[in-house]
Amino acid sequence: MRVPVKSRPDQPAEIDDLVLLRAQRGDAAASRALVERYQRPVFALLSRMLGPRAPVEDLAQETFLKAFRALPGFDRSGTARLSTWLLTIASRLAIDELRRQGAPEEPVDDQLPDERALGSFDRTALQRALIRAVGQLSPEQRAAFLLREAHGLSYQEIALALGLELGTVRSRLSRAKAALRAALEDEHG
Amino acid sequence: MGDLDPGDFDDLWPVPEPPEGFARRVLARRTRRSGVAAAVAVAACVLLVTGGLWWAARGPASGSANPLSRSTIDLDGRAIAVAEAGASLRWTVQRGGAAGIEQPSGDVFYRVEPGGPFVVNANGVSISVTGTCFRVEVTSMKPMFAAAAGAAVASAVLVTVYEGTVNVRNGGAATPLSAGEQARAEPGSGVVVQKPPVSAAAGTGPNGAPGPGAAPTEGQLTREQLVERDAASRQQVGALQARVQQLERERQALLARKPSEDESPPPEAEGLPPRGKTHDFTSSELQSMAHNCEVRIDTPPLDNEKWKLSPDLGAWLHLSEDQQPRVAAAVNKVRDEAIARLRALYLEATGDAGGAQSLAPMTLPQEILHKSRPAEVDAARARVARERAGIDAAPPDPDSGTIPERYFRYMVTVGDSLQRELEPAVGASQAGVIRDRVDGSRMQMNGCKEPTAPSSSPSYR
Repeated sequence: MRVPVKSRPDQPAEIDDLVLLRAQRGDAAASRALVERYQRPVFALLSRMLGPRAPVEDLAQETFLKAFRALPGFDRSGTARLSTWLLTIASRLAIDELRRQGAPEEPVDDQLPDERALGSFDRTALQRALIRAVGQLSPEQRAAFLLREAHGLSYQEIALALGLELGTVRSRLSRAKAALRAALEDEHG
Repeated sequence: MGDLDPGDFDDLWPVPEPPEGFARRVLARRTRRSGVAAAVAVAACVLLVTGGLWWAARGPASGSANPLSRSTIDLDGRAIAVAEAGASLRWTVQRGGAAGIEQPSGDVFYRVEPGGPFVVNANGVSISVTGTCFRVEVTSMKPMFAAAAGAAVASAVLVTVYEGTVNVRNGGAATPLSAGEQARAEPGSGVVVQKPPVSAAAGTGPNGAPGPGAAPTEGQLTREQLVERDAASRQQVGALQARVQQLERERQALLARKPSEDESPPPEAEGLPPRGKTHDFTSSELQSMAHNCEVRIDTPPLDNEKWKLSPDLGAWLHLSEDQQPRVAAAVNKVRDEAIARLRALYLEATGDAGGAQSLAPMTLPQEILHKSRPAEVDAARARVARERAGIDAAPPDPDSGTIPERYFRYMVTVGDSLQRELEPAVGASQAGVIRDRVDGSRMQMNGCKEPTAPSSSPSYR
């Protein structure tokens, strides 16, 4: 039984089972379709976790290469969705990269929205505060927060993705949200 | 901050689109990797030979550490040690890869690469391993106890295994420990295994990538995650130990209480089987039990998780590798049947399908009996006791009668079923021993509330 999650208006359904089966058998066209279908969420997760100066494309490529190596063992009738599985791989690569870099990095200025390109000042300020606050979370909190809020994964799926107990996911998300709330309040006064 | 809709999140924090040609570049790299795989295999063989020669040619390496804060230490390629502040360790890695570690104090987590022997000596307790992930904590003991215990060990050593296996030796024979187990070694106490194995982690996909729908394996967890999980387990064990102590106190209080006149066994109760005996009753014992309206029940553990044969029990019973899975299968077959039967009875008693599936199995017996009138429960127990003694005839259909009647009629047979299932694997005599050693439930219920004259014409639904 698949776990229901929030659907995104711009995100099509999971890849067709037949395409997946062909990709599992190494079919190039199906493999390409798979990458094109899932590249956007993978890039989004890696970009938000690591910032624009990180080797996002390298890690995105590594995500799909790892996935292709393990793809023959993917259970099409199992509980895990392919998108969740790919985001699992990507989030672990991103966490490793953040750990390699050391402590949570300060927010990167050129990731912050250009106020002229965006609408009202209030919205821009909110965006800046959000990005700054996420940048101050630990790698695991950052991953848990983004998987939940940006990708709509369930707590159970996040627990599986990050190798955590369900209670730990809840507490980390709660702490992440508290930290974000405090940061946003600071930003807005 | 509540949960956002993911679409809203994209609006709030837009990200660049993937660059043009990304999919093509991924597939090109994939093809290149496949092409070089064979060459890498050949190169790996060459490297292995070369590396082996280098390893053999170099001398032993040694070092020591007494960190003031948590430190990650490379033990010359054989292992990574994460030593907490206050830990002390010295190591020597021989040319062939054999490693010896002295850890007189502190808390150290080891992740060991496969290779030659790897032995940690912690104040007389030795932990040997060939490729695993474990933690050794050396804690000082109270001076009086340490002095009384002699010089063998002046401290308690706690070993927790996260992956693979280790052998822990504290003077006597080595005790094997598997992933999820923990052992404590103290002066004069040998090695005490404190926790049963945890359930195996879900599988992985090829190449170590996370398997679909699977939790990450032990190897994918970080030290922090392993230690965090271990801490949670310890909390659970602590709570369970406290509960056991409380129950033990309650039991002592009950034993000390003088039975009231109402509770005294009737004169006919003489000749009852010894307390704790749950099977192989003699005819006269069954007669006495019937006069006492007594049934005795033993079942395998009715936990949520399947029963697992602990290494200690397997070794104690001298079970072969072939017998061990058969014993576990037999126990779990009877466990599964008992749980299914109890869930069905609960459903029939309450009509609560959700509860029938969600309630912990071990709570079901009490729940079933509580849903029936006490008089009905007493009558059922008396009737089944008489049937067991041959005083009353059992109904032709064992599934007939009231719910408590069917409950008792089934439950008094579960232990016998277990023994029958075990016999093909281990023989009749050992089946009885295992039946008594699986740490399941034992219940003894007695006391007649009404005259116990045999009913001449029992009616069954």
